[in-house]
Amino acid sequence: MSRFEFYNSQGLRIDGRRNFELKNFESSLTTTSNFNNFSRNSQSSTTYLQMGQNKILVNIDGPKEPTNSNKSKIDQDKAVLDININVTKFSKVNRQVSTNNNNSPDKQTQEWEFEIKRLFEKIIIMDSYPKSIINIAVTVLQQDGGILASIINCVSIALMNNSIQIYDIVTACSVGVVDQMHYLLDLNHLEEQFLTSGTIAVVGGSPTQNVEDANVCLLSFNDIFPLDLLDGFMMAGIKGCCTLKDIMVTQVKAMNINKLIEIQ
Amino acid sequence: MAKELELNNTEKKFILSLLAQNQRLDGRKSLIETRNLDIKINPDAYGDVYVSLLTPEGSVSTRVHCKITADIVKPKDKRPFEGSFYVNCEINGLTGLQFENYSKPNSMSSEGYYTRFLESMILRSNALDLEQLCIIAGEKVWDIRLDLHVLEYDGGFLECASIACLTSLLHFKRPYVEVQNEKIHKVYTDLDERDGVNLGVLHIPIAVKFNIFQQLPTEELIKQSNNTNPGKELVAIDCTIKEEMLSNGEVLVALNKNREIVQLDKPGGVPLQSYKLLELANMALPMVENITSKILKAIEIDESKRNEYAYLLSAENDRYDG
Amino acid sequence: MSAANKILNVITHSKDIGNIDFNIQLSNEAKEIYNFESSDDDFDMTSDSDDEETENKKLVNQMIAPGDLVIRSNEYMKGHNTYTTEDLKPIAFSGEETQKDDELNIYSSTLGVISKINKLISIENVNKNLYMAEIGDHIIGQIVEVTSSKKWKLNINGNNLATLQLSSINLPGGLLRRKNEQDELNMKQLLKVGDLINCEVQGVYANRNDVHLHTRSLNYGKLRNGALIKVKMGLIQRKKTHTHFFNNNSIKIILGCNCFIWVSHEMTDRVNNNDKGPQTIKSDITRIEQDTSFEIYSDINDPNIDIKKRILISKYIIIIKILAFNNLVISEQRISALYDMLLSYKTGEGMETVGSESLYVFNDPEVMQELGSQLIQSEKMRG
Repeated sequence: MSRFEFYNSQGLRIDGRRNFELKNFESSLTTTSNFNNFSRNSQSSTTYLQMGQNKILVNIDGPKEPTNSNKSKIDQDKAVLDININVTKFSKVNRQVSTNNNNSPDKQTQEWEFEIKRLFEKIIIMDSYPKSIINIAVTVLQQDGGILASIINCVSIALMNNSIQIYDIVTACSVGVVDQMHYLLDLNHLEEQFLTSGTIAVVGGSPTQNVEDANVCLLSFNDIFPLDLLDGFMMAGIKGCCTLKDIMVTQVKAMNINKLIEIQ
Repeated sequence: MAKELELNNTEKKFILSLLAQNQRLDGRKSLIETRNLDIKINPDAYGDVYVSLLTPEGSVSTRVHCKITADIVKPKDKRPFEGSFYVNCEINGLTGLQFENYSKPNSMSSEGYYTRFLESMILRSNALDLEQLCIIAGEKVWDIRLDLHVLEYDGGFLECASIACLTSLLHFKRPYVEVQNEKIHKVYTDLDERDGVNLGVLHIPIAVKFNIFQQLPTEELIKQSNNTNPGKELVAIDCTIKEEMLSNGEVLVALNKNREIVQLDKPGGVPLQSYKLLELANMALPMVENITSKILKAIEIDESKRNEYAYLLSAENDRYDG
Repeated sequence: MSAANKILNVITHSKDIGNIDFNIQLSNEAKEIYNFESSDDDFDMTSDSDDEETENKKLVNQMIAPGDLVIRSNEYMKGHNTYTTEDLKPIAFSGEETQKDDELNIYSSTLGVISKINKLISIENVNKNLYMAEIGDHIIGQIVEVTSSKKWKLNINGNNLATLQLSSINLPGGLLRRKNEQDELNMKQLLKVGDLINCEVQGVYANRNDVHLHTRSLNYGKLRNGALIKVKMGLIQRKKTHTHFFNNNSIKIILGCNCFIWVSHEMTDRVNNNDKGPQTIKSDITRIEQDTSFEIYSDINDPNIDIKKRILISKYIIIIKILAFNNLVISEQRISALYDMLLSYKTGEGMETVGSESLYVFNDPEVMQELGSQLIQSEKMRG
């Protein structure tokens, strides 16, 4: 059916991973107590995530009082979330030529913004920041499949790095299906292009948790696919998300550990 | 979501308590009962469809008009063998006052999201065969444009729009094109002169939206060990606008009757347990089957009406009488 | 769900940064306090409940991620950065089937360290980016907006803007003067957008989001003749006094609690008049009446500040920058100690001391780090 063999008899994928093998996950904090930071009003810090070949920067500004331009948005009781995703034109293999002249994001990006906004509105404890606005700016530097999942993961880390109160950690993972029987986790762009694939996000998953009870907060699935295989698809995704949470927590803790002891 | 409509607190409480008792404000008896569907096809044209949802009393609550137009254009360079398909959805002051000055340039509204859902539901699942729209490869293809107008809005937009889309896709006939020597010889725009060609609709995906009403605060939800507290949330389909405003999560499912998921989206909102999601996807199936048969029936009735006087005109009749 | 059985273990790739970093960066002492090894596991209070000391040790100072269970108990109260859920049904513990209904699960909502004050459990943020106002704090704010309702809005490095009401400032012409409509119209003349003022927190309302300020003392008011530095949160601790004088009382440094620092040149003649020090000014009511002329809201810097005085100001600014770079808490003693070190600092072996005209040497991060470590060493020597 497709030109590639996505999952061979030895159980290896195109890029040499096993089917349930996640991408390399590395995140770092750009704004630390380094040179030149002291003079800055360091209300925001930038979080960088590299998930396989996906490279994403997330900058969170706020919570702060809205400026005049978006004052109409404010809510007296809780915070307002504003998400901007900027997919750079050089992020793919081929440079994207934009059809529209103005810099408005394309439909796909708008859809991501919509989904991510709706997702994090329920995860951030909005009540604790009345009359303020939280700006989340996402920049996609390089993409290699499963970009929505990577964005969600990076925003999740950035929220922790910025000490914004959240109920629990959100992790996301992309899942694909080969030959209607093998499930692949964390797709690369070839797999995403040719396989039926989707993204699943879980809040507060833990590896010990019962998979059926996992709290799914986002599911995006855009391909034709037999209904009866849906459970396997979701199980694979949830397992991936739950495993990812542990990695994420250790990395975030390691990132921030030096902040505990540095002030003398 | 409609912005300027505001519910007062008593109304909110009342609707939610009704839902908790498995009742609906408009008189429906269950959370999973849909409103009555009414499909009207314009007898003078092809692909011109009005779909409305009727309240139990019979008045129209949501009405969508769907019209397909076809043009001959040059294909994209990347895909010389494929025609193109667009969904254009208009929601403005015509629909309701709350949609006045609605369009914001750089952000997506829920309705914009639903429109995109519909477009990708039809395109990515190959429900519409784009290769069949090719006239001359790399030169001329059909460009199918689907215009949705929401005439009255009381929730249920996604279902209504998807039904309207599919009905008009199934019903539409594009003009026959005669090709000679790699050039278009004649386009029979007058369908009386030569009958048009149906679009290649390979399967019929129908979208269903589930609205979730979660009473528990989010923290309880995330932290609850779920065995102690299963199924606190209420799930309703085909919600009215008031119910939609109160719901705090939604699941959009598009299925066809071959037991295939065409699209499944849960755009944020309250978390939902995974088994519940599966349940919902399976729950949508009988509804989709029901709606599909309704669509096919409506088209069949329309066909028979159009051919009502066919026997008078056909040559066969003459011979029979004589 | 049969497919669940098919799923093998998920393979992951991530460098085990955690353990390496902990070993390098933490001293032994810190390791004892921060019990990181068990930070991933939620600990329950059911075990070792007799031994209160071990219990406290476990509770205190553990780095905790959002969503982690802090404690399950009905004794404790939730503080900042936590949220609670109630157990509707008892969770089956071994032998503890009958739990009370009002038992609370306290969860963390941020990345931080547990702090426990009596029965109040709260999580202290690891990233203290924002200033949390407390009543009585001496802070520096920047005017962002003059509203129509007799208020100024100030940026005080917090979540939201603080408000300064017209009624809570000293108007020119004496303390006892009545306020009239003319004052309301003149608000923009008194304090404009962009002005810096030195004020005190009068009240904190609405979950720390609504901060009211006042400047009803001669110590407070508009700032002139100097420069502002912003440093990271946590570098300034709440003290009895936040205004300090250096260099024969010619330099005044205000360490705002919100980590805005104002370094200014103080007029020597005025300081000489008050030999007893700055503290006595406040109590002198008659002086307040004299001094609250329109001049205190003037925008013009003192013409007597020449280049030498400016260099002196920038020297103190650099001192604060060096302290901030090394993450040292900024205090009066440290500033004066570092000033002495700066005077005798040599740029390298056999080089001359740095003259006051070439301050840029200190912008080198290596030099900054060296000075910081020297300062810590000398502090240790003194004990």
